[in-house]
Amino acid sequence: MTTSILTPLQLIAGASLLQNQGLGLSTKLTAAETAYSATPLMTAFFQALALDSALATLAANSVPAFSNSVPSAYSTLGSQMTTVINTQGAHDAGNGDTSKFIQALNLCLAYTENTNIFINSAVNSQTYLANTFTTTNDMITGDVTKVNLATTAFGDDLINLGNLIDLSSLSDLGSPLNLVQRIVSLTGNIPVVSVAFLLAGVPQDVVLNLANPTINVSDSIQKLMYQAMTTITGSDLTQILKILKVTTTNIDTMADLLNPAKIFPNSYQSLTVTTPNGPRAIYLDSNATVNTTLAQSLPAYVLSSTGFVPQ
Amino acid sequence: MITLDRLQQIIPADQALANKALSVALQQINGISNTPLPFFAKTVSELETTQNLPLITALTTAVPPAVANYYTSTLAVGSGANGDVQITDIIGLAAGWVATDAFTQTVSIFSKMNLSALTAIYNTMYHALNGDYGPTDSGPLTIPSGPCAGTYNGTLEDPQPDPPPPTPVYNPTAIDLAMACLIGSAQTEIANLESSYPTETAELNTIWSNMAQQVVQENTLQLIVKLDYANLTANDRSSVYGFIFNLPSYGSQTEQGGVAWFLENMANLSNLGGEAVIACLREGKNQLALGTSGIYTNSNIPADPNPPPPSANLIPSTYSSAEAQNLIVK
Repeated sequence: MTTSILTPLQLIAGASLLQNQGLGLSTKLTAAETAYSATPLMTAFFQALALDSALATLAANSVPAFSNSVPSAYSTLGSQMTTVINTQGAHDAGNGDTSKFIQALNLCLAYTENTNIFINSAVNSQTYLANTFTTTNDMITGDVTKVNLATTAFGDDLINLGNLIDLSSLSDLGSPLNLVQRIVSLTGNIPVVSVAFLLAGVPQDVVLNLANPTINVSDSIQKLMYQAMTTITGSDLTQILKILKVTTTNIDTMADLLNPAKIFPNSYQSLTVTTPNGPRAIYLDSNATVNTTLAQSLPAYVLSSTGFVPQ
Repeated sequence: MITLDRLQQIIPADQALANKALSVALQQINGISNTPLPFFAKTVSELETTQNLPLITALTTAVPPAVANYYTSTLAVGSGANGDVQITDIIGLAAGWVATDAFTQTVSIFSKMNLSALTAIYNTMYHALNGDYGPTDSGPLTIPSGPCAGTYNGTLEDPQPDPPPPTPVYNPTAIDLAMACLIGSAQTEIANLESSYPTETAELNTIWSNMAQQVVQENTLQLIVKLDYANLTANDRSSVYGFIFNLPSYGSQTEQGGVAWFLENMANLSNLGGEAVIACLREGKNQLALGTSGIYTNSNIPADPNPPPPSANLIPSTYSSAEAQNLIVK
């Protein structure tokens, strides 16, 4: 079964086009030329021209329109403008062969579509990033190299972190609550954490409600959580690492999971952050010395909840 | 979000700062918040950089201006925005691109000028050339009035050709002398018009140069496009079929100088087919508009024969019941 795809109008148009009718040199052009030729000036001129072809270029050097002349600068095209225009127009229209015109049109459409993509892209390329371009590396890696130019080492470290970091809550990265809620979201409350938290003085209602994503935990209690995490080692830590699918080596306590230098052992020295002064290293050396100048150059909303920038 | 001043109260200050810096850095990656860490990790481990490509690495803009300039200076020769090339730049005269307006404007400008003196000179030229003022060879050719009024006589060529022709040879002829004067007068009058109508004549020269330039540009671009009409297939029905199928889609390409404009100006409105071409363009636009609200037409014509053609007798491809029974192992 063939799908019906022609409308009556297409069928009508086709009958003409297949007989080389329906499309041709613009009748509007012909009408405009006729109107020009019918002006008193040009009627008189064409009468004279018919008897003396030497008049064809009479005004080519001055005002070509007064003698239907091709301007002298374009004399290689011919002498009489209407003749040149009609010859070119008829040529463009396939000289009576509609199929030739259509083939030409298709070639032109293909050329213009492709060429214009290059032209417009070239023009837009100078402005489209609005001064946000940093490096080609950043451009081709989706800005991953803004974080770490050593993509292989960084990738390996990330792979070893399993499910440790919830990338949807990066703004809470480093907070003990964020870490423990990550664990709870994966497996529910686990006794080793709950016990350590209670022993450190974290209130029971907080421990029992860690699964609540909107739970409000004060900074002082989070500090207690952190202290508790420093005590979680050995098999308890192994259990947590297994839950998080962390295979990073040299994690000695649960608190190490909040230390970027520990969780990115192969790539922390090339971690960078973009500042108003350009990209800057987060760590200064192999001793994991943090670049403290960042405390002044990170965005203000990150630095202080009260607008005060800590020194 | 936990800020640095708070986080520093919870975990060691240096770790807090490192975490905030890392957090800021990671959040610059578009879409990262929707990506599970294992997926992101795998992606990062597979990324490649510009390592060992020093020229690319040294780029300070996404595309160096010189590269952009190459494209804009070599390709952007058209009349569209940014120098985009339009089909009218390549084959536009078929649709009267540039020229229709130029001739129309010329007539309009002529109407604002007093061209009677130049017209009179042209008329005098015609009458002189036509023999209305006397014999064009020997003369006397008498222009009764106007800037070249007077009598012109040819000069017998000396010596006459040998053997002598049936009629004497004049050099210059009477018309040579008269036309020399008339052409000079015409050029003087044109100079007067340029002086009297500087704006109009300048405008005329601009639009006439534009017409000539259009021809030059078309020929240049046709070479670039490799459009050689002589090598196109004559009377190629398949091309016409494809064009007819595409007609409705061209209807929505309504930019100035675009396909819809182009075909509208080439359509011959004195016959049914020409009108049908334009109607197809409009039908295509309508189909798009109707489609957006889920309305459809039943205008498409069934393309299957009715009644359907009889089925061919092909080699049997299924087993009869008896054949199947014989094949079963019992």
